Amino acid sequence: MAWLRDIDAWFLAEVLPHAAAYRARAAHFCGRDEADDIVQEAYTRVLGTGDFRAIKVPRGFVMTIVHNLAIERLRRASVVRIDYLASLEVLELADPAPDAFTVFSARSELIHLLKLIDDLPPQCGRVLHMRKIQGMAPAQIAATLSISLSTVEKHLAKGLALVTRARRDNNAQPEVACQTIPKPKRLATN
Amino acid sequence: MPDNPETETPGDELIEVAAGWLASLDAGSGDLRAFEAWRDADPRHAVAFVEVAGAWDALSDLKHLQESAFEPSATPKADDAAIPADAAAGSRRTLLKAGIGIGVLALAGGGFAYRAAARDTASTAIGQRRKIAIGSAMSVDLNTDSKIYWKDGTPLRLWLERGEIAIRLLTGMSLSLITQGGTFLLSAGLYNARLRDESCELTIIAGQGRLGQNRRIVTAGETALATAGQVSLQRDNSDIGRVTAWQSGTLILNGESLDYALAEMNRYLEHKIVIGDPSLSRLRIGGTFDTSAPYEFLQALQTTFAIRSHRDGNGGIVLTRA
Repeated sequence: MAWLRDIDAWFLAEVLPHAAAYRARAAHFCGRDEADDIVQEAYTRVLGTGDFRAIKVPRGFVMTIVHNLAIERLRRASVVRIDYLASLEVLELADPAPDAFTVFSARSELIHLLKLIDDLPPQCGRVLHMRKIQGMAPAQIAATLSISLSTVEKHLAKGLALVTRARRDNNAQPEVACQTIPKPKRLATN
Repeated sequence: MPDNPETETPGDELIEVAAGWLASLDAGSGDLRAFEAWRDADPRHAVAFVEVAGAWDALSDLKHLQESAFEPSATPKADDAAIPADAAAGSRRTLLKAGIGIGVLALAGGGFAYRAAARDTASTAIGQRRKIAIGSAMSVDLNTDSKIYWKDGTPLRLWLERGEIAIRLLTGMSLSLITQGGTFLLSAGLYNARLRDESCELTIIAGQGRLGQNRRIVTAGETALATAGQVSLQRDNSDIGRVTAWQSGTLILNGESLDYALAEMNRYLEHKIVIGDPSLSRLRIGGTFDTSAPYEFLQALQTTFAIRSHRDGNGGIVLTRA
């Protein structure tokens, strides 16, 4: 896509695929409700980085940012579960292998997307299907359905927004994997 | 724009704005510089846009998957009515959760079930023609704006969903051709099937077939019009050449009205030709025209009948008397 900068393409390829892991990490500290917020903030920091090419391990880089943001919030929060605070340092090392989070295989992702399109309002799903699966040009779709080009755009935008948000929700699914993070040693010895 | 980034929840509305940008850039109506200004104004904008671009990319991958999930339901109109857009949006989250559950279950059941239920599909856009080989037993030519599904088995099954096709079926094979007008059972041969309104018109160039349980066998040289499972037949051998002319990209007219000629020609054109002067519609046209070159057709109208053509605001072509 011509309208993606290098950093966007990099972000898409290296950062976003691990969304579930970031979210799980954030949720572990701050709960689901705040997890999205933290991950989004981490993303803005990453995209704000000038020399993204210097980042050798994007996943680890983002995990660290998420981790720090989460701890920052936790410390500011008025009520903090004490075991979390005690475990902060240990968790620094506890990024499970990416495999633990790749719950959704490429194929199931596609099946999920099909289902999503199916669940869209009919005309919206139809337009998205014509554009992305049948590969029809927007003008062609407009002519075929006898609607204006701007209506085609609106349907595409609406469908795309719904799919984007649903993919976010989908990424939230493997959160349970987070439970496998080992119990902090400090708690065990104290 | 919100002034307080601390309290703004991440993104739902940003996602919508970003999706709007992508859709307008994709359609070529978006202003690239305005978009860049928006994106660069706030890293959250950039994040939202990349997320949307990610979804856009993922959707492109669907092309490679079987289109079976999109098999048209038997009553698409009823579907439309059953899910008012607002209600659908309101319960979206619930629907999505349910959707995920179903997806996971289907996976647990194994990919085979999914594959077994799948139909293969092929389609053409307006103005396109395409030849598909289906196994070693059958080939199908798709005319403009057509869509088919097929599925292996005995007999082989082929659904004509939209448009017009030519079927070549090899010896020893039989085919169930399923259309909105009824289901034809065909033996080896050459066939042309075209949907018209609620009917399907099947011309047998070689071979034979019958509609559903009808006893009457339709033979070579006959055209069967199937409507709601009933068939009417006509025989006009001289018509065969005209029926199959589309396969070489031509339209043969033999004294038909301009109305008819335009309806035929417009099947191949994104920008339709319309009659601006009603008195023109009864003109009779004859000749062989290239369906990919409407210009030649218009030129012929101009030289023969002094009919002028001009473009309207939407790209359509309007015919008037000179």
